[in-house]
Amino acid sequence: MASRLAVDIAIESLLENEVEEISRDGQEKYVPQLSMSEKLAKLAHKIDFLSDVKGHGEDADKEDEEKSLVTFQPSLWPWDSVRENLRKSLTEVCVLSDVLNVMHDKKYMVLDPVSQNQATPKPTLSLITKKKSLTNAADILLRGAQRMEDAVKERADQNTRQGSSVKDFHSELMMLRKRWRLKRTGTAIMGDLTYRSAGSQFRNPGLFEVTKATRDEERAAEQSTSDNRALEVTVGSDLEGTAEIRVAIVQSGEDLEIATVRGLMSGCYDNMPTVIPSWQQKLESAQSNLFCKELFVQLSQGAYNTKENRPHFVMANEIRAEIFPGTDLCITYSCRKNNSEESSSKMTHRDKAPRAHSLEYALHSLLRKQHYQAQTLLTPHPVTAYPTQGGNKRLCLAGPSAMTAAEVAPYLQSDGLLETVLNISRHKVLQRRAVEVVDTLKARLTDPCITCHWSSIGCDTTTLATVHITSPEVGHLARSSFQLHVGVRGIHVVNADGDTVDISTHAQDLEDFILSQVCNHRLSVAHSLAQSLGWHVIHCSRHVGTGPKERQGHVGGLMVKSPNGSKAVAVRTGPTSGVSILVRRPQVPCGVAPELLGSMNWGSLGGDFIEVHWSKMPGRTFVQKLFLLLAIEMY
Amino acid sequence: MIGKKMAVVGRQNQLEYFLQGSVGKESVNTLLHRLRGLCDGASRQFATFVDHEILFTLGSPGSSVSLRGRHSLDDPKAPWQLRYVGQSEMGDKSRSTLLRSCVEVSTSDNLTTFLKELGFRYESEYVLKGYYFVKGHMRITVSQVCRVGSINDPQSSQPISDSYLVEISLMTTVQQDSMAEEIKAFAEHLKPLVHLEKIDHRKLQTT
Repeated sequence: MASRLAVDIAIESLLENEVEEISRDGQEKYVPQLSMSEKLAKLAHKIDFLSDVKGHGEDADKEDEEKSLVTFQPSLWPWDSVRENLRKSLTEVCVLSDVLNVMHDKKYMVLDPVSQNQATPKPTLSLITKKKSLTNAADILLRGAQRMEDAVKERADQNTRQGSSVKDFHSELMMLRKRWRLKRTGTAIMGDLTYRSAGSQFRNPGLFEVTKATRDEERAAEQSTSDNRALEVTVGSDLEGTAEIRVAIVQSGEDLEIATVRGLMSGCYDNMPTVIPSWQQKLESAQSNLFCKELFVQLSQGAYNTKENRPHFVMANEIRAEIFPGTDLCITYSCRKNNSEESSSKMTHRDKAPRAHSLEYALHSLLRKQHYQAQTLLTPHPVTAYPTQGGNKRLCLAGPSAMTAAEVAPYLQSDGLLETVLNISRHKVLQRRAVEVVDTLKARLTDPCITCHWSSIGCDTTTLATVHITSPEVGHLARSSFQLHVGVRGIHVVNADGDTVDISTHAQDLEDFILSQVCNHRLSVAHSLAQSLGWHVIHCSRHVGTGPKERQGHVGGLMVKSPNGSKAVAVRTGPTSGVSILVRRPQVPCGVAPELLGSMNWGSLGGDFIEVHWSKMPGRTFVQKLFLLLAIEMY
Repeated sequence: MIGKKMAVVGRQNQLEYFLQGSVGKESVNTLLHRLRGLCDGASRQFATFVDHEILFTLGSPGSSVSLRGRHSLDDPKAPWQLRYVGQSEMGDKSRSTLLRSCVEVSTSDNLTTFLKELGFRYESEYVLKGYYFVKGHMRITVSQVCRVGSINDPQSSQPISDSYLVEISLMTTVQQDSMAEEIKAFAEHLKPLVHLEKIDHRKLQTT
């Protein structure tokens, strides 16, 4: 029967937790159940301790007490046991404080330590122990005094032997500490040579060790000339000697210009040997060697990461990069261990090419700038923004101001060390070419006077020059000027009338340009000369379509007619062919009787143009010759 | 309506480990000197900042979303920043700092207009004036909270009290409690001057 009636009864705990919220899918979220400690805290929060104290205060009032007793029915209140315990402890504390008060007054009761039966003191034993410890202390003091005496004696000895300039190890160490970063590891004292604290990220230990100098007699005698120091420094073997980075612009096997970054040479402190200790020089030279090392590593990394279409070569201690076709930049790293005289003389012999100071300066400053940028942290604005490490401020604005990729691109690419060095050397080469071209033209062309002003203001990668072409005889009549902006990848020319021309890096292009300018100048001189003499200009063009073609450039032509209209002079001037002048004189038709012709206008029919033997014309310059010709042919 | 395009560059799903504390005006200089010694770039001068933060909310009380628009008063050209800062989690004892989620985005300067168009209400604003330090990935700020006199006039701000708010924070995209240890270790260095502790923000709000 019972089995038939078996019904599953689910026993579920009562919903003790409060429902905090019911989410949209119907799931109920409960307020989490309180832990034991939280429950306790909650209950303890309910106790009104003050009411109890109040009850005490109004003890006299019987009725009130009765009332409070009524309210604190033990059966009604579950925390009664806690209250009872607290009251008990209060009573005990009160009693304790009463006892202490009584004690404090020392009126009714005095406490004395209870003496237990002590061991009787043995005077002889204590005397012996005292004596023993005194002798120990005396020993220590005596030993210390002996050591101090020794030290004083030793120092006095040294002073008498080597003069008063010698300092002891510790004061020397203090001096060293003022100049270099030192660290004590175990018994050794190590120093730091790296530029790490200045922002360098070059991985080289760059350590030096500081040791006390050993003063052997023979060594002292040997070193008697150099200043004797109580301190010696040892640098790593890779930082010894003199490192050098030699940057040369090589064109067809020979150096055009060179720049070198050297570790400190010995003897650069010759003028102040007393102030600078010997170790300082050694450490500084080691540090500059480290600088050279880092510079070379950075340059070769730049050479690896280049995106140019012709890759740069990196071979052991040499980087070769092409700056222009046929012109290379060659960077070599070398380290000389012994600073012997002959090797240095050999070096100077080798470095005959002029020094490129701006390149040299750039090599020094670029790496330092890189260090500085790595170290400086710009404060982001606002401070919660992502910090940009030495970054471009424009880049921060790129996102918020919705710049396009094309707008951002120029800020993203930053030239590396090698790229900057390459640009500077490109500029150097280009500048050199421009100077050569202008100088040779100046020497070759004496007729129109070419003057060139190289601006003293410029930067590593830009130079400005202004070229004037003038004819001194008619300086006021014609003068053409143009400005050259010698850049990195080409020369930008601005004419006096504002026209601009971009010229490639080839020297021939610049030469052609200047020649065509000379040609234009002649044309305009001839034009204004003819006009001032009263000739009529029939035609003037910079580009004449007739006649033989020039190898390069255009022939300019001018045709003028004499004031009475009977004669004509044609001037042709080309950049390579030079000047040719033709004259047409009136020619009476031959074979016809003059009386038949009647009017003289027949004469203006003209004859053939006859070329003037220009070189045989008297006069030195184009202007003088043309003036003479025009004056003769006027009537 | 809105002249410029609103373009965003931001980092999402970030977690910020942070510790807060406060220091009195009289000992703030000592703290700054100590921080300068401890933090990166010791050679440089104190980096100062003045930031203005406006709190916007959307929705009814109880179920609202708050966003913070922040911009620098030092550098008015710098982009604005829109931040969402989540509830700070106390976590258990094993984690030694507070943790909150944080979404940040740089915006153009018409952020306020944009948020108002979306229906956000202006809630409050304040100005933080102080100093900024960096130690590794940690960002340390010592700043005074200033009350803004009239609405949208951050120049008229006055400090609320003489004490400075010190905050060390570290942003990360994945939860790594080792970073909390890093912050804790750094906070230990500042110990006698300022006690940086986990402060339960919920308790602060209820009392």
